[in-house]
Amino acid sequence: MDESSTDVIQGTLDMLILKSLSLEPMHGFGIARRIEQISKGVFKVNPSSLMLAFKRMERSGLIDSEWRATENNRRGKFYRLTEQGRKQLKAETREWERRTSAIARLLEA
Amino acid sequence: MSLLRTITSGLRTLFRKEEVERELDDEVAQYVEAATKAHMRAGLSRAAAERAARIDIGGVETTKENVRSSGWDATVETRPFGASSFTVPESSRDYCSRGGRFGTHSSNENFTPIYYKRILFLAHFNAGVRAVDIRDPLNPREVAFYVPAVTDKTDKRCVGTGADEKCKVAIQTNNVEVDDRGYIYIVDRANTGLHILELTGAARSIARF
Repeated sequence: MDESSTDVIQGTLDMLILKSLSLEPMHGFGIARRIEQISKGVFKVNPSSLMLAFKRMERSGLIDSEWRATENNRRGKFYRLTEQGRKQLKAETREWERRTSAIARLLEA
Repeated sequence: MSLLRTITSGLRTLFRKEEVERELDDEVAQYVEAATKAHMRAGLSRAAAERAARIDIGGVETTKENVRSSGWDATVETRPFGASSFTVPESSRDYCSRGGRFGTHSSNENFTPIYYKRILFLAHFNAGVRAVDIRDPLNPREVAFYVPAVTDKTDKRCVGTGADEKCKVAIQTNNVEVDDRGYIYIVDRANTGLHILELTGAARSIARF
Protein backbone atom coordinates (compact mmCIF):
# COMPACT_ATOMS: atom_id res chain seq x y z
CA MET A 1 0.00 0.00 0.00
CA ASP A 2 1.14 3.49 -0.92
CA GLU A 3 2.56 5.38 2.06
CA SER A 4 0.34 8.34 1.35
CA SER A 5 -2.84 6.38 2.16
CA THR A 6 -4.75 7.57 5.22
CA ASP A 7 -7.67 6.41 7.33
CA VAL A 8 -11.03 7.28 5.83
CA ILE A 9 -12.30 10.74 6.78
CA GLN A 10 -13.74 10.65 10.26
CA GLY A 11 -17.48 10.01 10.22
CA THR A 12 -17.58 8.68 6.65
CA LEU A 13 -16.79 5.01 7.18
CA ASP A 14 -20.43 4.03 7.72
CA MET A 15 -21.45 5.84 4.53
CA LEU A 16 -18.70 4.11 2.55
CA ILE A 17 -19.75 0.71 3.89
CA LEU A 18 -23.38 1.42 2.96
CA LYS A 19 -22.31 2.48 -0.52
CA SER A 20 -20.21 -0.66 -1.03
CA LEU A 21 -23.08 -2.88 0.10
CA SER A 22 -25.60 -1.07 -2.12
CA LEU A 23 -23.92 -2.86 -5.05
CA GLU A 24 -23.93 -6.41 -3.67
CA PRO A 25 -23.53 -8.36 -0.42
CA MET A 26 -19.85 -8.44 0.57
CA HIS A 27 -17.50 -9.66 3.28
CA GLY A 28 -15.28 -7.43 5.38
CA PHE A 29 -12.13 -7.67 3.30
CA GLY A 30 -14.14 -7.09 0.10
CA ILE A 31 -15.42 -3.80 1.45
CA ALA A 32 -11.98 -2.69 2.66
CA ARG A 33 -10.48 -3.63 -0.71
CA ARG A 34 -13.15 -1.76 -2.64
CA ILE A 35 -12.69 1.42 -0.60
CA GLU A 36 -8.92 1.27 -1.19
CA GLN A 37 -9.19 0.53 -4.89
CA ILE A 38 -11.94 2.98 -5.85
CA SER A 39 -10.23 5.73 -3.82
CA LYS A 40 -7.03 4.82 -5.75
CA GLY A 41 -5.25 4.07 -2.50
CA VAL A 42 -6.00 7.44 -0.87
CA PHE A 43 -7.98 5.73 1.89
CA LYS A 44 -7.06 2.61 3.82
CA VAL A 45 -9.56 0.99 6.12
CA ASN A 46 -8.49 -0.15 9.56
CA PRO A 47 -9.91 -3.70 9.98
CA SER A 48 -10.75 -3.15 13.67
CA SER A 49 -12.72 0.00 12.83
CA LEU A 50 -14.44 -1.88 10.03
CA MET A 51 -15.54 -4.76 12.24
CA LEU A 52 -16.71 -2.40 14.97
CA ALA A 53 -18.70 -0.47 12.37
CA PHE A 54 -20.35 -3.74 11.21
CA LYS A 55 -21.47 -4.53 14.74
CA ARG A 56 -22.77 -1.01 15.31
CA MET A 57 -24.61 -0.88 11.98
CA GLU A 58 -26.08 -4.34 12.41
CA ARG A 59 -27.51 -3.37 15.77
CA SER A 60 -28.90 -0.18 14.23
CA GLY A 61 -30.65 -2.28 11.58
CA LEU A 62 -28.75 -0.70 8.67
CA ILE A 63 -27.14 -3.96 7.59
CA ASP A 64 -27.82 -7.68 7.95
CA SER A 65 -25.35 -10.52 7.92
CA GLU A 66 -25.34 -14.21 7.15
CA TRP A 67 -22.77 -16.96 7.42
CA ARG A 68 -22.06 -18.87 4.22
CA ALA A 69 -19.73 -21.75 3.54
CA THR A 70 -16.58 -20.63 1.77
CA GLU A 71 -14.52 -22.52 -0.78
CA ASN A 72 -11.94 -23.75 1.76
CA ASN A 73 -14.58 -25.40 3.97
CA ARG A 74 -14.77 -22.62 6.51
CA ARG A 75 -17.62 -20.21 7.02
CA GLY A 76 -17.59 -16.60 5.95
CA LYS A 77 -19.70 -13.68 7.11
CA PHE A 78 -21.39 -11.69 4.40
CA TYR A 79 -23.12 -8.37 4.93
CA ARG A 80 -25.97 -6.88 2.98
CA LEU A 81 -27.90 -3.62 3.03
CA THR A 82 -31.36 -3.47 4.62
CA GLU A 83 -34.13 -1.17 3.41
CA GLN A 84 -33.35 1.11 6.36
CA GLY A 85 -29.69 1.08 5.30
CA ARG A 86 -30.66 2.08 1.77
CA LYS A 87 -32.58 5.09 3.12
CA GLN A 88 -29.69 5.98 5.41
CA LEU A 89 -27.27 5.89 2.46
CA LYS A 90 -29.46 8.35 0.54
CA ALA A 91 -29.68 10.68 3.52
CA GLU A 92 -25.95 10.52 4.25
CA THR A 93 -25.03 11.04 0.60
CA ARG A 94 -27.26 14.13 0.43
CA GLU A 95 -25.76 15.52 3.62
CA TRP A 96 -22.23 14.83 2.41
CA GLU A 97 -22.87 16.66 -0.89
CA ARG A 98 -24.36 19.60 1.00
CA ARG A 99 -21.23 19.85 3.16
CA THR A 100 -18.64 19.36 0.44
CA SER A 101 -20.29 21.97 -1.80
CA ALA A 102 -20.26 24.38 1.15
CA ILE A 103 -16.52 23.74 1.68
CA ALA A 104 -15.93 24.16 -2.06
CA ARG A 105 -17.70 27.53 -2.02
CA LEU A 106 -15.64 28.61 0.97
CA LEU A 107 -12.36 27.63 -0.67
CA GLU A 108 -13.23 29.37 -3.92
CA ALA A 109 -14.44 32.58 -2.28
CA MET B 1 -35.46 -16.20 40.82
CA SER B 2 -35.23 -19.95 41.34
CA LEU B 3 -31.88 -21.69 41.50
CA LEU B 4 -32.66 -23.47 38.22
CA ARG B 5 -33.33 -20.19 36.43
CA THR B 6 -30.16 -18.74 37.88
CA ILE B 7 -28.18 -21.68 36.50
CA THR B 8 -29.97 -21.50 33.13
CA SER B 9 -29.27 -17.79 32.75
CA GLY B 10 -25.66 -18.37 33.75
CA LEU B 11 -25.28 -21.03 31.08
CA ARG B 12 -26.89 -18.81 28.47
CA THR B 13 -24.43 -16.03 29.25
CA LEU B 14 -21.57 -18.49 28.99
CA PHE B 15 -22.93 -19.99 25.78
CA ARG B 16 -23.46 -16.60 24.18
CA LYS B 17 -19.93 -15.58 25.10
CA GLU B 18 -18.48 -18.65 23.41
CA GLU B 19 -20.60 -18.13 20.33
CA VAL B 20 -19.59 -14.47 20.06
CA GLU B 21 -15.95 -15.48 20.45
CA ARG B 22 -16.26 -18.17 17.76
CA GLU B 23 -17.86 -15.73 15.33
CA LEU B 24 -15.10 -13.22 15.97
CA ASP B 25 -12.43 -15.90 15.35
CA ASP B 26 -14.09 -16.92 12.10
CA GLU B 27 -14.60 -13.39 10.84
CA VAL B 28 -10.99 -12.38 11.51
CA ALA B 29 -9.75 -15.64 9.93
CA GLN B 30 -11.91 -14.92 6.88
CA TYR B 31 -10.41 -11.43 6.60
CA VAL B 32 -6.84 -12.72 6.86
CA GLU B 33 -7.54 -15.46 4.30
CA ALA B 34 -9.05 -13.01 1.81
CA ALA B 35 -6.14 -10.59 2.29
CA THR B 36 -3.67 -13.47 1.86
CA LYS B 37 -5.26 -14.45 -1.46
CA ALA B 38 -5.08 -10.85 -2.66
CA HIS B 39 -1.34 -10.75 -1.87
CA MET B 40 -0.83 -14.10 -3.65
CA ARG B 41 -2.60 -12.77 -6.73
CA ALA B 42 -0.14 -9.88 -6.61
CA GLY B 43 2.71 -12.41 -6.81
CA LEU B 44 3.72 -13.24 -3.22
CA SER B 45 4.29 -16.82 -2.05
CA ARG B 46 1.68 -18.28 0.33
CA ALA B 47 3.93 -17.75 3.40
CA ALA B 48 4.88 -14.19 2.46
CA ALA B 49 1.25 -13.39 1.63
CA GLU B 50 0.08 -14.68 5.01
CA ARG B 51 2.68 -12.55 6.78
CA ALA B 52 1.66 -9.48 4.78
CA ALA B 53 -2.03 -10.13 5.54
CA ARG B 54 -1.34 -10.30 9.26
CA ILE B 55 0.52 -7.01 9.06
CA ASP B 56 -2.37 -5.49 7.07
CA ILE B 57 -4.83 -6.36 9.76
CA GLY B 58 -2.59 -4.88 12.44
CA GLY B 59 -2.17 -8.13 14.37
CA VAL B 60 -4.86 -10.79 14.65
CA GLU B 61 -5.04 -10.71 18.44
CA THR B 62 -5.00 -6.90 18.57
CA THR B 63 -7.93 -6.74 16.17
CA LYS B 64 -9.89 -9.31 18.16
CA GLU B 65 -9.19 -7.44 21.38
CA ASN B 66 -10.33 -4.14 19.84
CA VAL B 67 -13.60 -5.69 18.72
CA ARG B 68 -14.06 -7.60 21.99
CA SER B 69 -13.49 -4.57 24.18
CA SER B 70 -16.46 -2.80 22.69
CA GLY B 71 -18.55 -5.93 22.25
CA TRP B 72 -20.80 -5.39 25.23
CA ASP B 73 -21.31 -1.65 25.09
CA ALA B 74 -24.56 -0.03 24.04
CA THR B 75 -23.43 2.69 21.65
CA VAL B 76 -26.64 2.43 19.66
CA GLU B 77 -29.02 4.18 22.03
CA THR B 78 -32.13 2.92 20.33
CA ARG B 79 -30.97 -0.70 20.45
CA PRO B 80 -29.47 -1.47 23.84
CA PHE B 81 -28.91 -5.16 24.47
CA GLY B 82 -28.30 -7.24 27.57
CA ALA B 83 -24.74 -8.36 28.17
CA SER B 84 -25.47 -10.47 31.23
CA SER B 85 -27.60 -10.53 34.34
CA PHE B 86 -27.01 -10.97 38.04
CA THR B 87 -29.19 -11.73 41.00
CA VAL B 88 -28.86 -13.24 44.45
CA PRO B 89 -30.03 -16.88 44.59
CA GLU B 90 -33.15 -16.93 46.76
CA SER B 91 -32.30 -20.33 48.17
CA SER B 92 -28.94 -19.23 49.55
CA ARG B 93 -30.63 -17.98 52.74
CA ASP B 94 -34.36 -18.53 52.18
CA TYR B 95 -34.80 -14.85 51.49
CA CYS B 96 -38.37 -15.24 50.22
CA SER B 97 -39.57 -16.43 53.65
CA ARG B 98 -37.55 -14.02 55.80
CA GLY B 99 -40.07 -11.19 55.53
CA GLY B 100 -39.91 -7.82 53.82
CA ARG B 101 -38.90 -7.36 50.21
CA PHE B 102 -36.17 -9.36 48.44
CA GLY B 103 -34.50 -8.10 45.27
CA THR B 104 -32.25 -5.37 43.93
CA HIS B 105 -33.36 -1.90 44.89
CA SER B 106 -30.44 0.33 43.92
CA SER B 107 -26.73 0.48 43.17
CA ASN B 108 -23.98 2.88 44.22
CA GLU B 109 -24.27 5.97 42.02
CA ASN B 110 -21.05 7.58 43.14
CA PHE B 111 -18.06 6.87 40.89
CA THR B 112 -14.76 6.38 42.61
CA PRO B 113 -11.55 5.15 40.96
CA ILE B 114 -11.24 2.50 43.67
CA TYR B 115 -14.31 0.63 42.48
CA TYR B 116 -14.91 1.98 38.98
CA LYS B 117 -15.24 -0.86 36.43
CA ARG B 118 -14.28 -3.26 39.22
CA ILE B 119 -16.89 -3.67 41.90
CA LEU B 120 -20.55 -2.66 41.90
CA PHE B 121 -22.56 -2.57 45.13
CA LEU B 122 -26.24 -3.44 45.14
CA ALA B 123 -28.76 -2.71 47.90
CA HIS B 124 -30.83 -5.87 47.93
CA PHE B 125 -33.52 -5.31 50.61
CA ASN B 126 -33.57 -8.33 52.97
CA ALA B 127 -30.39 -9.69 51.34
CA GLY B 128 -28.47 -6.62 52.56
CA VAL B 129 -25.72 -5.25 50.33
CA ARG B 130 -24.02 -7.35 47.64
CA ALA B 131 -20.59 -6.65 46.14
CA VAL B 132 -20.36 -7.79 42.52
CA ASP B 133 -17.11 -8.17 40.54
CA ILE B 134 -17.89 -6.52 37.17
CA ARG B 135 -14.41 -6.57 35.63
CA ASP B 136 -15.81 -9.00 33.07
CA PRO B 137 -19.25 -7.54 32.34
CA LEU B 138 -20.28 -10.72 30.54
CA ASN B 139 -19.75 -12.65 33.72
CA PRO B 140 -20.60 -10.68 36.89
CA ARG B 141 -19.68 -12.56 40.04
CA GLU B 142 -20.59 -11.90 43.65
CA VAL B 143 -17.48 -11.49 45.79
CA ALA B 144 -18.91 -10.30 49.12
CA PHE B 145 -22.14 -9.47 50.90
CA TYR B 146 -23.31 -8.09 54.23
CA VAL B 147 -26.74 -8.55 55.74
CA PRO B 148 -27.12 -6.40 58.87
CA ALA B 149 -28.69 -7.97 61.96
CA VAL B 150 -32.12 -6.69 62.95
CA THR B 151 -32.23 -4.50 66.07
CA ASP B 152 -35.01 -3.44 68.47
CA LYS B 153 -35.43 -0.42 66.16
CA THR B 154 -36.12 -2.51 63.04
CA ASP B 155 -39.74 -2.23 61.89
CA LYS B 156 -41.93 -5.18 61.00
CA ARG B 157 -43.12 -5.71 57.45
CA CYS B 158 -46.66 -7.00 56.93
CA VAL B 159 -48.62 -8.71 54.17
CA GLY B 160 -52.40 -9.35 54.02
CA THR B 161 -55.12 -7.54 55.98
CA GLY B 162 -57.29 -8.21 59.06
CA ALA B 163 -57.14 -11.75 60.37
CA ASP B 164 -54.92 -12.79 57.43
CA GLU B 165 -52.24 -10.22 58.17
CA LYS B 166 -48.77 -11.70 58.72
CA CYS B 167 -45.83 -9.62 59.90
CA LYS B 168 -42.11 -10.26 60.13
CA VAL B 169 -39.23 -8.10 61.32
CA ALA B 170 -36.74 -7.90 58.48
CA ILE B 171 -33.74 -5.97 57.21
CA GLN B 172 -34.61 -3.75 54.21
CA THR B 173 -31.35 -2.37 52.81
CA ASN B 174 -32.59 0.40 50.55
CA ASN B 175 -29.63 2.40 49.24
CA VAL B 176 -25.88 2.10 49.02
CA GLU B 177 -23.16 4.66 48.43
CA VAL B 178 -19.36 4.58 48.38
CA ASP B 179 -16.64 7.17 48.88
CA ASP B 180 -13.09 7.53 47.61
CA ARG B 181 -11.66 5.99 50.77
CA GLY B 182 -13.48 2.79 49.90
CA TYR B 183 -16.10 2.96 52.63
CA ILE B 184 -19.52 1.59 51.77
CA TYR B 185 -22.58 3.20 53.30
CA ILE B 186 -25.88 1.36 53.46
CA VAL B 187 -29.20 2.60 54.82
CA ASP B 188 -32.25 0.62 55.81
CA ARG B 189 -35.84 1.61 55.06
CA ALA B 190 -37.15 -0.38 58.05
CA ASN B 191 -35.46 1.95 60.57
CA THR B 192 -32.39 -0.22 61.24
CA GLY B 193 -30.25 2.82 60.45
CA LEU B 194 -26.92 3.35 58.69
CA HIS B 195 -24.03 0.88 58.46
CA ILE B 196 -20.54 1.89 57.34
CA LEU B 197 -18.64 -1.06 55.89
CA GLU B 198 -15.33 -1.89 54.29
CA LEU B 199 -14.21 -4.78 52.12
CA THR B 200 -11.75 -7.34 53.44
CA GLY B 201 -9.83 -10.30 52.06
CA ALA B 202 -9.95 -11.35 48.40
CA ALA B 203 -12.80 -8.93 47.55
CA ARG B 204 -10.70 -6.01 48.78
CA SER B 205 -7.81 -6.97 46.50
CA ILE B 206 -10.07 -6.47 43.45
CA ALA B 207 -10.51 -2.80 44.31
CA ARG B 208 -7.77 -0.32 43.44
CA PHE B 209 -6.72 1.00 46.86
